[in-house]
Amino acid sequence: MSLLKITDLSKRFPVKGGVLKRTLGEVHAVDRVSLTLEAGETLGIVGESGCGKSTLGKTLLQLTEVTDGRIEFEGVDITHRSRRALLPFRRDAQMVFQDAYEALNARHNVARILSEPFEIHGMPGPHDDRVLALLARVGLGADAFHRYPHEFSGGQRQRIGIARAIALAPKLLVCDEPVSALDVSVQSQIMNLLMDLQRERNLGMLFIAHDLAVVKHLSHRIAVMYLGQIVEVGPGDALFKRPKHPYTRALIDAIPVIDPDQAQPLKPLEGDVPSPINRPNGCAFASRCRFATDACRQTRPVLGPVDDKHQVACIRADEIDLSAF
Amino acid sequence: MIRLDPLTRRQFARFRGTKRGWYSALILMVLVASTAVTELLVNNRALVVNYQGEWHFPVYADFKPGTTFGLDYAYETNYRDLKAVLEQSGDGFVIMPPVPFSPFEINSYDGQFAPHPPNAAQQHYLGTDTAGRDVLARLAYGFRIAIWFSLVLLVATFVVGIAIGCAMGYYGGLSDLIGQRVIEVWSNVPMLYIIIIIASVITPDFWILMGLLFIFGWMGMTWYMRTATYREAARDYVLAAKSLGASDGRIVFRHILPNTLSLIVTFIPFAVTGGIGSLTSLDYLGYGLPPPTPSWGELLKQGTDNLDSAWIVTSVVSALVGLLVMVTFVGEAIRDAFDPKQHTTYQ
Repeated sequence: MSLLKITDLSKRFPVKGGVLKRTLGEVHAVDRVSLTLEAGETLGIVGESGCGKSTLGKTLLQLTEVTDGRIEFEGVDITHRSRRALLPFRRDAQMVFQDAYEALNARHNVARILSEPFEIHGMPGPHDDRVLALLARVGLGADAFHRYPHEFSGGQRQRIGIARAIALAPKLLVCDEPVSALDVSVQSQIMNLLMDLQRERNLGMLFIAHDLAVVKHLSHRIAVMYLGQIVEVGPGDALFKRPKHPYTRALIDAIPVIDPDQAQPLKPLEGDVPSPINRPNGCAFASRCRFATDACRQTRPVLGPVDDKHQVACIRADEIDLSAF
Repeated sequence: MIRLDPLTRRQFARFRGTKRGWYSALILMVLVASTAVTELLVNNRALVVNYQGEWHFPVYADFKPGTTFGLDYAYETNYRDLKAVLEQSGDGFVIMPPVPFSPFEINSYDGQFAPHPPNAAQQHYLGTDTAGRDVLARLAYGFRIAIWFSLVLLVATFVVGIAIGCAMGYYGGLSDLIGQRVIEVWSNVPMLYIIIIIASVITPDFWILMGLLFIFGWMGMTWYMRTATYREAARDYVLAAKSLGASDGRIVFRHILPNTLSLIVTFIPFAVTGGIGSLTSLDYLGYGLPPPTPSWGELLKQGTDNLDSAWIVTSVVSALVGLLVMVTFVGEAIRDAFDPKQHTTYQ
């Protein structure tokens, strides 16, 4: 039994307009995504801005309503449940946000922020010892106790955010670009903290990022998203060495190489991402893909196996040779 | 002990930094506090009477007939006369309030017709109105009614306006859409005509008038609260609370409302001036509190009708302008102190 199993999850936002606020169309933010996550596993989710990776994270935590599909947590269907019925799930699944300052109530001090999880889940107070233990675990001193979010640096705030997320000893942690707003030097500290926590507690982690290098560093498996869909998923090594989807290949090429002798001229993707409102019938990537054929523009690819762990959604995956890109 | 969060403390410090606002606030606080003891400051009953070794405190005592103090009448003692009598006889003494007149008391002086001009010897510091009632006494008691009317109205309209606005913004959707339309329609009911019609049928008292102004006045706050709630509810800290499993009540009262505090506080002074203005204008038009209730609007009406007795209109206009300007200064200072652009920086 997987820790988390998502089947055909969709999240659509209605687009309203006109005097009567009629629904004119729908934004397909997350489009029939299926994936699984095991305890102790990190699944990295990458994709460019607006591809729906954050919405996927928020939807699977039931922070926005699911439009379609099914989410199972430890084998139990948790889709469309009331707040009360979700409380046990809330305890087990937490989120780390991108902008830690936004995610902390500026009017509450650290003690109040970190006591809140215990209060909500009805643990008998006072919670001071628990809060101090959390602070120690994320590498903050006891002097942080009475301070307010604006008195901390970005990295320290993210530590507070992480402390809040692990307060109830969750089994699943969704990290929504937790380091992309931080300095590079601080990024690695936070990443190490997350990796330590994962090992220590056997956390299942969903690590959302737009930076493939960051994801590669800490993920066991990586899923690549494009326009609300997963186009390729597989173990990190396999994905990097033998990408099967042209989009994955383009993302890998976009990682800057530090050694100038090995640097190759950038081959940026051309064209625009199609509108998520009027999705193309065929492959969503066809408009930017150099291998696209008429068949690509008409048939919608589905995730199919490359080997037992590696899946790709490209109808020409077997024909094209991405190594000679 | 109330622990203020640093944001509030910083805003308060900035508020104090705006001098005219801070001093206006101090004066207003003293004035509002003084309404609790208006009887001790403005009254035709003595504060203390010592008569033949006995102590009397007539302000907070029952009606005392003149015979109590050896006078030859059984109706209520005229303490101003008693003071003169006791000073001559040496049987005791009387301490009168600084303004020794009641707002309802009609004063007449031999050989003069009301209104009497200001006269320090008679202790009519601002003169009397056309009925011979002391202007300062009527101003003081009128202020007490006006300010408390305005404050109670403020609390009522804010509680309802904030609750409804917050609910519309938080739940959104159809309830928001319908709520907005209902409020738009309700806002277009001509309040003044309704009050005039009702006031011509029944005589409105303090609470009826307040009820009418409340029923037609709670909508203003809903718009601002609705927008503020919409904005706050979409922020990540609310999402974080939601992901912890917080209830709607907890999210609204612990997270959203404290973060809209600056908006609410900013509107308070302007609501106070609005309340005072409404009551005064209704009184001026004659649809407010029934006579002989001391009221600034009624005094203003008398003043404008008797411009040759300029002390009436001068007193009430100065008082009204002074009060409203002070409240507005406070409002400005609060608005500046809470201006988000001055102490937040984008990361």
